[in-house]
Amino acid sequence: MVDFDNIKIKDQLGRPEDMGLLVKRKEETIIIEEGPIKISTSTIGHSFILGHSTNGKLGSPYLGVDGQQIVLGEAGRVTIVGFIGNPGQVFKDYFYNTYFEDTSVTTADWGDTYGELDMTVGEIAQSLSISKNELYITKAILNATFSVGDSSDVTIQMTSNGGSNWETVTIGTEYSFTNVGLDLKFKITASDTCTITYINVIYS
Amino acid sequence: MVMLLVGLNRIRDLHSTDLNKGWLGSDGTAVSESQTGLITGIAATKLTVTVTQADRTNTINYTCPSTVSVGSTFREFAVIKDGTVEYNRVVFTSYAHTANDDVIIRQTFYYKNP
Repeated sequence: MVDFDNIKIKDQLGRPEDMGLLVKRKEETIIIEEGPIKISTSTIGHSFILGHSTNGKLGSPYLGVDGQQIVLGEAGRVTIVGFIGNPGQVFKDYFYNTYFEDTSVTTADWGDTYGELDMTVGEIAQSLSISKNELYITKAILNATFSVGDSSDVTIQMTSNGGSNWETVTIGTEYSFTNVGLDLKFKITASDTCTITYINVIYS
Repeated sequence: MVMLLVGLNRIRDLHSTDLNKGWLGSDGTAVSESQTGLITGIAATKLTVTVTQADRTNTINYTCPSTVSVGSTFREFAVIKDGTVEYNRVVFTSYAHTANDDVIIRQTFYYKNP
């Protein structure tokens, strides 16, 4: 018997696969994800604080013992970022907000369109610290998802020491830093029009 | 099939009603899913948070003022529904709290399709 005959016999007997239409269901999942945590300290400056040993005294001629408080308020406060950490040491940015945009350097459109980093030729997208005082960062991998263009349209640099040394990396490839530190950032420079919808940085 | 944005934002809203306080503690033990909350929470630091929302996002904003728990050393933080559940636990670099500064914490949660 040839295979053709076998098939004809199977058709007469009925094939198991004809007994019903099997639908492979895709599991529907919702991800609730813990994002980055940022811890800062903010000095009290010239704030008048009732009961405070220094800033709670009614002085003369001004409110506040240090002599510079002339209004009830928060003048002279200095905010310092002390810690930034990520679950599993994986930073993720979906560009839903501008929390990690370094606005002093970035010329690209970071989150102007919700969920997008839009770049044209020559534009730069530089992050603030994405990990700080969490651990000494010796290695990192940056991955990016593009909705327009691809990885050939950008140059990526990263720094482990807060920007003292920027080192060029390749998307999706683990990079070992020459200059190691406690303050991780990334910088993207576009050589063509592109849109990034997601970035993650895995570091150790 | 996909979870619609309106559905994801509804889940975000339901969760946000549970995120009413932040809490600092002093234990730096590494985090583990099996933990039930802070190892050593400092009662005075259990304070009301504000929640900022965007599509698919809840951002928790917490401040421990300069007048609260002065002299404590902070190592851990949790976002909680007071009296019910502690949703997460974060361990960070040791910080000795003084009367000269506030501690400000921002924590984000995302609600999204795979």
